Order: sequence, then structure tokens, then C-alpha cells
Amino acid sequence: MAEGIDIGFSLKYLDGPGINVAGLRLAADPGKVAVLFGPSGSGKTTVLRVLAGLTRPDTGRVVFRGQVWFDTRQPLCLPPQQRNIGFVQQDYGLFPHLTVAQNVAYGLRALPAAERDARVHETLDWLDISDLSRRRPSEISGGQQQRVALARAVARRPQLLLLDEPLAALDAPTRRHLRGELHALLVRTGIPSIVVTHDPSEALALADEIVLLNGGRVIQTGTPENVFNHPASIEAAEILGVDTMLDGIVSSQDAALVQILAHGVRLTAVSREPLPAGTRAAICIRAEDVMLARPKADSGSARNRLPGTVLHTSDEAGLVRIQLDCGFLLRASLTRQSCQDLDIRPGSPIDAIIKAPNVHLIPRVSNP
Amino acid sequence: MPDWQAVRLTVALASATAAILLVVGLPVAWWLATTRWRFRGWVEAIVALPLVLPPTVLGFYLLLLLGPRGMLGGALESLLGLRLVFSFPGMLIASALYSLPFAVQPFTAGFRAVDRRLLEASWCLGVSRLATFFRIVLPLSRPAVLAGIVLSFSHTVGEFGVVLMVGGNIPGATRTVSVSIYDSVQAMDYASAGWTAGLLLAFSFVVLSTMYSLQNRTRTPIWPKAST
Repeated sequence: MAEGIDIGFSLKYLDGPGINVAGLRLAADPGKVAVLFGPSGSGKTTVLRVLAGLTRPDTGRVVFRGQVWFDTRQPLCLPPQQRNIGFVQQDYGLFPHLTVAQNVAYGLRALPAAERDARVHETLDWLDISDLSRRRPSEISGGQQQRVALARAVARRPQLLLLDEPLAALDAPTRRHLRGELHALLVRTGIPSIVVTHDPSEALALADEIVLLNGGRVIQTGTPENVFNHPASIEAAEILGVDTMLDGIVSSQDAALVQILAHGVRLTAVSREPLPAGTRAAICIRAEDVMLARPKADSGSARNRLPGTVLHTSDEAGLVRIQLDCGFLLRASLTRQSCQDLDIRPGSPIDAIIKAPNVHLIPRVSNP
Repeated sequence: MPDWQAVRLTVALASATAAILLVVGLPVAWWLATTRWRFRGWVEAIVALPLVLPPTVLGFYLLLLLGPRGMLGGALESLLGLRLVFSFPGMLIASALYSLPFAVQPFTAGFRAVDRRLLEASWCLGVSRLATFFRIVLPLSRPAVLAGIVLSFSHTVGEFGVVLMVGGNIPGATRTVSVSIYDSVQAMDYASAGWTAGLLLAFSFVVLSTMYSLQNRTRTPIWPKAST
């Protein structure tokens, strides 16, 4: 039996651009998270709605683990009711006239009453929201609503979880706090998840697999490190907005200063969040934040002063984009004048300097 | 003394009309609230026609349709021996048509206020479209449905022209409260007319004030805002 999800469809909105997704294949392994990432209008929510059966494409075919969900050649379009999915909407879509427990029990009509109650309690316990069971959605916080929506979706033990911008309805501090928590929960469900987001740090925190969308097309797929560090095109790099992305492991934290190791290189970063030693984190560095200087003999001890070699340079609208080998691939961006002053050409040795506050860390929960 | 026979008949007619409009009006209103059909405006206009037409116009066409030589009336009379004009069933059909907008318009407004995303959430939880209507749409638009029932009941209680045209004025069979008042005034029986008119006024006020205060109290939130 074929594993994974195969998606290919085209759809033209009356008033908007067309969406063409061809040959998109998602692994959909148990407990793994695929992120559909792209700017607004890129079609990522449409892909999610097509998977849910809520939007019907003009032509195409959607196959989930060998079950055909949609095929215009047959023709066949399975309604959402028959797809056995869990769908968490952006504003959660909780039923306002029902309590939290009734919301979670809503999709369990087919179960005998005793089993249904047991399942509701078990799900509420599992998400640690049992004390909310008698409250109405309007009486609980946004973070709690998110948990209720997730509880309602997983209570039916769906074969696939779909989440549309699950953190967008929350304020920024709550969002940061819940990012890691949501990933841990999705992993623990043991159900494959597909998450839509336009926020790169959300994508990095949640994704095992990233699908980059723009203008209604898939422009790249791969692991987060692969996609963020090796954008397949200038278009992809612009959307990602990150020039260097590394996987690192925190070695120590002293107040706000964090020491982190990536590819054998030690970097210092600033983080307000507590990051215990051993935490996995994505390290993001923008090309504009990388300063270059002539090599110094004792550079090894200075903070974030990395000796390296120029690999490649390219001119781009007045700026020179430089790729350096510092033990990892580092991208920098300099004016043409500075490049001449520093005598930068492929093969020449150079030191890269990055201020600690410009080394951004995004903690990632490691998969069990 | 009010004309109690007419009061009993009027309550029976209004209750039956409201019941028919509940059964017929809910699907029509749901269709109007959700369809994207290009010509739905025409259907909405047909539903709203009784609001602007004089009752005599509707009564005239109904007489033609329901009369012994009309399409519907003729068929029913030859098949079942049932005469529609100047009878209770005929009056019921006329009242239901005449009060149609008073049921369908509040229903439609209530249904339109239910967020579509709630329906989608329900479908994705494996619940059929029909069950979603009964478990999500109806409970969330309860005030609007209640308003539609009360308005169609009250409007039937207060109607005159259509009832007189189609039903006539047969005591105990088709003479409703409003016809009875008209009859009493024609017969110079101002005492009887005054009693019946006062009763109708009091009833209408009580029903409407109860409905409005109920509606103000049970304002259900349509969509809970996510907040922290």
C-alpha cells in the first residue's frame, strides 16, 4: 500500500489568481509534522482546505495512503465527513453554545455513551484541561481554546491532523510560549500533522518537513535545515528571509548569553528564554548582520569572530553577496566598496564577526 | 362580550399556520441563506411579495387557484370531494402564503449570522450536513427561529383581507376575530366589536413585548473571539 499523501490539483478563483500544485508528496509519518509555509496569498490554506474536502479544485487528484480522496477523472470527491481527519481552524471554530466537554464529545456520536464519556475525559486529561470541561468557549483564554480545538480534533482518533495557522490568533508572548508546546503535543498524538503558517520561526519550531509555497505553486520541499539553508531559488530565499540557518545544541547559558555549538563551531547568542544545556535550536543569521574583517592571528578566542575562507561572490543590486566557509556555510552581504577594501575574492581568508544579539535562536523540541 | 367562537377559530388557524411555516420555512430559509444561485433574488422577491401586495390581490389569485374551477381546487374537489374556498383548509393555505415572509425572513437572517466556519468544523468532525443543521445552526439561531414563529402566528391573528376573500364569513367555520369585528361594526354592535378589538390589541402587545425582551436577553454569541 502506498504511504504518504500525493497532492496535485489546480483551482482558479473567480476574483483571484490560480493555484497549481503539482506532484506534491508528503511523507505523513505517524507523529511527524509537515509545515506548509509561504506568504499570504501563496495558496497554503487552499492546499489544507483541499485536503480537508472543504474546497473542491477544478481538476486534480488527492490520494492519502492509497485511499483516493479526490479525483476529477473518476470523478470522485470524498466529503469531509468520510475522510476521518482532524481540522483545527485558525480561530479554532469552537461551538459557542456547547461546553468544552460537549465540544470534545461532538464528533463522537457514533460511540456508546460510556465509551464516549471515557474518551472525552481521557482527551481532556491528556491535554491537561479537565478543569475547563464545564466552561463555555467564551469563558476561556485563547491558549486554552487552542487546546480544546486540538482535543476536539484528536478525540475521534483521526488518521490526519490539519492545522490552519494554529498560533496566529494568540498574542506574541503566548505564541512564543505555545510554539514548543504545540510541537510536543503534535508529536505525542502519533498522528501525522500538516500545519499552515506564514511565520518562519513557527515553521522552524514545528516542522519535520517544510513545503514552501508562493503564488499558488510549490517552490521547494525538504527538511527545515535543507530548505532554510539551501533555498533552491532567489524567490525561495526572499520568502524565507533567513540567509544562514544551522542546527545547534546549547552548551551553556549565563544569564542572557547562550553558548551554542553548531558544526564544531562555538557561537554566542542572546536569548531571553531559559535554554538548558542540550537544547536543540535553529540558529538564524541574516547576511546584513555579518561583518567581515582581515584575519587576525589570535582570532580564535574572540566572541563570534570566525576565521573562514571566501567560497563565492555575486553582485546583486549594488551589494555583493558572499558565501564563506567557517566550518559551516555562512552568507554575508557587503557594499562593493568594502569588498574592494578587504580584497575579497574566492579563496581569500577572512574573519566573520557577528554580534551576539544578531544570532537568533529558535528552540526546537527534539522528536523522541 | 368578545366573540369567543371567532377567537377559538383564530387561535387554531394561527397555530396551524405557524406550524406549517416552521416546516416549510426552515428549509426555504436555509436554502436562501446558503445558496449562491444567480437567481436567488427572484425567489427572495416571491417570498417577500405578500409584504407589499394588497391582500385582495393575493386573495383574488388564490380564489382562482383554489376555487372549484381552479387548477388546485378543481383537482382536489374531483379527487377527494374537498372544497377549499370558504373552508378552513383553504384559509390555512391562504394564511400560510400571506405570512410566508414573516417566517422566512427572520429565519434567513438568523441562519446567515451563523459563521460558516462552524459548519465546516462540524463536517470535519464527521457530522452530516442535516445533523449539523439541527445541532449547530438551529441552536445558534434559536432567537431568530422563535421570532419567525411568533411573527407568523401574530400576523395570521391580525390578518383580514385574504381571510375574508378566501374564507368568507361563516360563523364557526371561517369567521376569524378580525372579520368578526368588521361584522359587529357593520351591525352597529359597537360593544361586541370593542371587546374583541381590545382583546386583539392586548394579545398582540403582550406577544410582541415578550418576544423582544426575550430576544434581548438571549443574545447568543455567534463566534467566540480568541483572546488571552
